[in-house]
Amino acid sequence: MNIKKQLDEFLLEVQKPGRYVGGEVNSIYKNANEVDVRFAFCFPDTYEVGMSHLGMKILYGLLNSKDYCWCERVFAPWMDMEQKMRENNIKLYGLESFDELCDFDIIGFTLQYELSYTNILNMLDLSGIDVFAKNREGLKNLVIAGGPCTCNPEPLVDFVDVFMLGEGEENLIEFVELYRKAKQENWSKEKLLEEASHIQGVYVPSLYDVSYNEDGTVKEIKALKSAPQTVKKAIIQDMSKTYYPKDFVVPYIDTVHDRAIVEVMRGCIRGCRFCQAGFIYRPLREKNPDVLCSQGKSLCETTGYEEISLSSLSTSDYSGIADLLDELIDYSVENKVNLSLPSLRIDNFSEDLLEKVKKVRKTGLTFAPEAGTQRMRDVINKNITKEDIFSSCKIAFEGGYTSVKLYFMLGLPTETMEDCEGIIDLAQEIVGLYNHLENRVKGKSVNVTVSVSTFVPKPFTPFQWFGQDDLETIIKKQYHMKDYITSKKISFKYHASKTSVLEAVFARGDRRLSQVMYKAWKKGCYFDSWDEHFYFDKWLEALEECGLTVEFYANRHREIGEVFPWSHLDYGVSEAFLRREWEKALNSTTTPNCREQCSGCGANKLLERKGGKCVE
Amino acid sequence: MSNQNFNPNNTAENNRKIALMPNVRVFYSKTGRAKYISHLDITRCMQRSLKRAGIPVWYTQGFNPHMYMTFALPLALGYESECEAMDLRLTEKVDFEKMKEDLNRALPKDIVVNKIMLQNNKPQTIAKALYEVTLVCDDKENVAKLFDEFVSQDEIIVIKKTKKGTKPMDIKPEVEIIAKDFVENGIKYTMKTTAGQKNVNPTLLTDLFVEKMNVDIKATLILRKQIYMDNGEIFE
Ligand code: SF4
Repeated sequence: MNIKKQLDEFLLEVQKPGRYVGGEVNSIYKNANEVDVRFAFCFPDTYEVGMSHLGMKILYGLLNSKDYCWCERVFAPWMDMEQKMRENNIKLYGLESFDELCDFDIIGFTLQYELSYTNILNMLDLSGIDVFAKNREGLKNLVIAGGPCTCNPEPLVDFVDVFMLGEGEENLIEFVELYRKAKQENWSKEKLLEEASHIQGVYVPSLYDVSYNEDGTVKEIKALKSAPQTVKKAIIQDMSKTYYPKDFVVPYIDTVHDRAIVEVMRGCIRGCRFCQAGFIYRPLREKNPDVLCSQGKSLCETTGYEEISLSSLSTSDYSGIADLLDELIDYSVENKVNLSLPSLRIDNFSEDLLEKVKKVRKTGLTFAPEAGTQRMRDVINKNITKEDIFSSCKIAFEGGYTSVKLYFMLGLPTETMEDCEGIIDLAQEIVGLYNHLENRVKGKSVNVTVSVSTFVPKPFTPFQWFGQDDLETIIKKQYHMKDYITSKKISFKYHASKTSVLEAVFARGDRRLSQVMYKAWKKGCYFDSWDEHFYFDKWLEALEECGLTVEFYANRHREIGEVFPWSHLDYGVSEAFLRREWEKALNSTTTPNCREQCSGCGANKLLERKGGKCVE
Repeated sequence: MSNQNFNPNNTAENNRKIALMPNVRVFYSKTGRAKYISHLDITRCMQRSLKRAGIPVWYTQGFNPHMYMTFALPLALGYESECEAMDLRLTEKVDFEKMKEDLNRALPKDIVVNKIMLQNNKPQTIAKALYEVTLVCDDKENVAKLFDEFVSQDEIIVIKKTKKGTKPMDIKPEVEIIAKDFVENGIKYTMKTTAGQKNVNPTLLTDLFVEKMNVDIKATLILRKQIYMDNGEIFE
């Protein structure tokens, strides 16, 4: 059956048909009969979200750089399209070949956020592939998953055959080559899985047996057969030498981020205690500025993009930032490309740098103090003072900016009502600062946006022991803050926290949640990260049917020494270090960043570099 | 006079020169998967392709410079075409044959430049467009009979959406059926419709047909074949 002809019958009746047809510049076409491995890279969200994601671009280019492999892209169809597909009996297909997913060897999902998990089930189902790993026999349709959430993939173990922990640029190829060999030599699935478990970063959940204590906590995790007792994440040793794509697929339709991206470094020196990325990508590895410039230019030339952005967890910590900006700004002005710089930390936001940045940047300013009081910022180890924030704002206002966006988190460990009020106080003081400034833009008033999200404790952070505020407490805090605002210049934005509750359940969840996920999906839960499609009640029902509670996973304070569902996974940072950080947090004591002083987190052991030093 | 004023790269001087550069018209076809791409998205795709190809396109001046680019007769979503026209202004003389090659290398595979030339006629001269309209169906004979019946009415009133609301319009005089062919997947009608300032898309007719006669059409495939001017000549 030719899917293309069938699509003609209804594609014009769905929203944004461009999502479903591929054909974009730089998308890659091969002859299916001439490759050994067909890889479907699945992003469990819409085309617009998935096409904005850097990791997918890197791995798409990497896999296709191998002659024997053809990697195609697959996204979750929006509900109108899904309905049409089900009505017309059309299976989910790869955007390049239009071949059905069940024709692919490896089906790889990327796990970027917990609330996309149910889309994996739905996408498998829409492909006519059994959602349960144990029911899928043979090598065909092997389901694998990578991305940051694999640091605790336990809630997905019933559905996924293999998880790839850490950075995939090297071990994914090793894995695909093993698969190729297995296919050529007709291995059983069991043999492939066991062999694969010997590759660094490859976690085969079916090779681990988990037992539970009576109170529901994990008792023991035992490796079976020849699988390693702990699975260590994969890591790239030298960022300047690792694969980076020369081009990106250029979407026709508007996506969330539609621009050239250079990744300046991986890892972060800061150690903000709430930030999972800050721990699981340790240690810091920078790319050489010359490599970055040439990668950036190559991308602009091959895509025709009008914007380029620098990506990392904390770009202003990049030691070559001045050199890089100097050269890239010249290039971008000359070639009519806008340079955008997200996530700039403000404590080293110098006047000089701002001056340069201002030449190319027209959008507003965003800061992420994360907490409103100094005590609270010390607890989370966000080393920014009020003075830092004010001086950055002052420079910005004097430079013509009139709006500031501030990001905060609510529900942090040890937080009191005063800390919540502190957020609003900070915003009011910024309004005051603007009003008293002599050289601000005349006749214009300031706008301070306060955006507050609900804190979700994550594995591999010092807050992994902390019980999330319950819904009632969060809502009380949100309302209080709203009432506490006096200035009209402040816009207060907060998010429905029910999604954060579910996120917290999955983030630190165990294997028993697979059943919950299956039940919830059967009840119609997917696209959970889209508010209009989030059904909290159904999730509560599913949990109850499985005899599990939100309280156990999200709100319960965990004991030091408790075996976590992810205790057999090793991301380099030691539990002893995390425990030290947790204790320091409770005492509002900060920890210096990795450049100032090494705190002995253990991640240095991941590097082959001599002496195991992280920061040059 | 001080020689400070003498500057060969003076932008005003440059702009005057560029203003004298004639507009260039690029004819391209848009088929296959690209038919699902909206006009707005095609515009962005063209800008990026021109940039990739390194064509010296003139940018409008001012606060937010952008490529100067106009489309003679924007194509509706879902239509394919062999004769799309895009007008550009260049900042220097180029070889059109080479420009065509460079651009085709840079474009997605479903958009192909067929011809580049100097702009001869203003888009305002456009009066008619020729389409091949395929009604995909199983029961070809019956559908053809119903369609012939439908178009032979004295008047065909459609409700056209305008900026001020909706208004009834008789499209019978705006559509001329030129040929009918039975093809593998259905019936193909070749028709000429009014185009340009007043624009009558063939789907106005076919959608109304499907609705009024209650026929089972699986899909309506539309290919624009040619654009004509008010004097009957091909638009170039
Ligand atoms: S080992 Fe030391 S320097 Fe390296 S990431 Fe850990 S704390 Fe930072």
